[in-house]
Amino acid sequence: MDWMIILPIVVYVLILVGIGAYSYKFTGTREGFHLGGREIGSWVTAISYAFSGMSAFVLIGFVGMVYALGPSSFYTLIGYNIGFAFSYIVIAKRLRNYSEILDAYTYTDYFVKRVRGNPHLIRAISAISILVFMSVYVGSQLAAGGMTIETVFNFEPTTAIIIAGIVVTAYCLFGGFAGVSITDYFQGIIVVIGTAILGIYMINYAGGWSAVVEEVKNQDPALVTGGLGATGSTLLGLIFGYLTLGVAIIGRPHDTIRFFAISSSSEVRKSFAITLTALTITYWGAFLVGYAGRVIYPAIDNPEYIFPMALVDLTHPLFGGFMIAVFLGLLMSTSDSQLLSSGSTFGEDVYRKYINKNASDRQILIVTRLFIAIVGLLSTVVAVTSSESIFWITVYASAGLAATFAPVLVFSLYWDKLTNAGAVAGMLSGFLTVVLWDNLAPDLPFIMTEAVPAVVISSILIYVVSKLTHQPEIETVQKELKEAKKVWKK
Amino acid sequence: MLGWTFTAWLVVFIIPALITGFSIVYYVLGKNEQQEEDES
Repeated sequence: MDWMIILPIVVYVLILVGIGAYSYKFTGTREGFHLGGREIGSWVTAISYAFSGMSAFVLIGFVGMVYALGPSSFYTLIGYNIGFAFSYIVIAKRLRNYSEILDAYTYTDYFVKRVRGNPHLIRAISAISILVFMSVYVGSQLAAGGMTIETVFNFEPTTAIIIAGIVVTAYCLFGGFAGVSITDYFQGIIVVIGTAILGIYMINYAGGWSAVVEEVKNQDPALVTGGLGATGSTLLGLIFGYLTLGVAIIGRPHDTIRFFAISSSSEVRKSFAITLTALTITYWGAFLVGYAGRVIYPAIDNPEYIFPMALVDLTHPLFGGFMIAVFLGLLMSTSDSQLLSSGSTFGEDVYRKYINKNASDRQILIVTRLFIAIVGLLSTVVAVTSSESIFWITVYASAGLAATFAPVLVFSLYWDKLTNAGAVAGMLSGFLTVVLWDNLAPDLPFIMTEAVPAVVISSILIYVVSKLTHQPEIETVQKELKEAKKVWKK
Repeated sequence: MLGWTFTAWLVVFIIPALITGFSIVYYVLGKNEQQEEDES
């Protein structure tokens, strides 16, 4: 019965509205709107960090990969987990402290204040990178949601995408950072539990573990191995290619900004453990979905549709509704973070600095929200009109953001001699390498993410250009770096 | 082993579990250091 599917979705949306209304009280100030007053705890930080980065990939793209590659698909998760470990161990604590020392609210603001010098080029490169890659990124999320809703409900696809766009944008307009973080937390918990339940259910439905493995082995013996049956350099190439996906999740603004807001730097390690535990359980669940799907749907045209098809064909309608809510939550957790990141960039880094230098905090918030609405609208248009592969657009956007920001971020947290010119050279070269390399070597993403050569080139240029120039306030920077290493409590 | 090769178990369960286990140990060790720092 339809109401049994609709009921959990309605309850879910009502809870989201409640969280949005609650978090509105944090949005009266700039720090409150952008960073939730820097009072976000370890659990909310961990779950929202994990799932604002994972997007719809887990239940759509990764399930399809499991179907095609079997156990070898898990090199992806290993790559991501190494990327998350790097972010938490190398970046998180120092960035949380340093962003407060510099009184920085946005990513761009942090870089400008950190390097001291002419801020125009850093603002320009940062704003262009964020606006370009985020708009495409959000568009790909909305397109993924629209396609799935269309498959499950036979909705008209444009209507489904427009509904997704309106809900995400409206939520982000009113909730600000606290709303986004708390909602991500709530959705992340649902994702972890729901995906695990679905995976176990599908394995049982397909006859149990032994029967599934036996049937998969009959279809293709390589799918019960950890390397697609490959050996030697071919196997190493396969492993390397998937592990490099982890590079593309480091330093992306929409999830790294979470580190600005954590309530205490001592909460960072706890967040790290929660993030990895939640992600690993979710990927194990998604793996079971894809692996059992191989037996249940042996002749499916596009294995990325196993998740919605299983919900329609195999599960109780009430559970189906619950899992659709899970999917919507996952979709939103990425899109709303990206919209907020774009809005903050324009309001704080473009409008306040160039268009209206005397703008009040209230005016800035209005402009930020207006820009969130514009990007939300553009992303919806991209989603409705795009015919590109969602998976590769997502990987591309992710690589572009990581290449622009990750190298200069790491240098900024550890090296006192980083200069404004070095930072500009690094950001520009990272951004351009991803854009140009994709055109010059279109097969590269199939070997490794574009982020790898971009990060290498960017790092070299940051070092060389900084060595050739001079950091005018090096003594102040040295003191700040010392402070940033300390444990910090709100 | 239950129809899978060792490398399959390694990639899907053992390595992800080890990395996750590392994050938990890292947290627990850091917690002790934190308490010592607070007390001093």
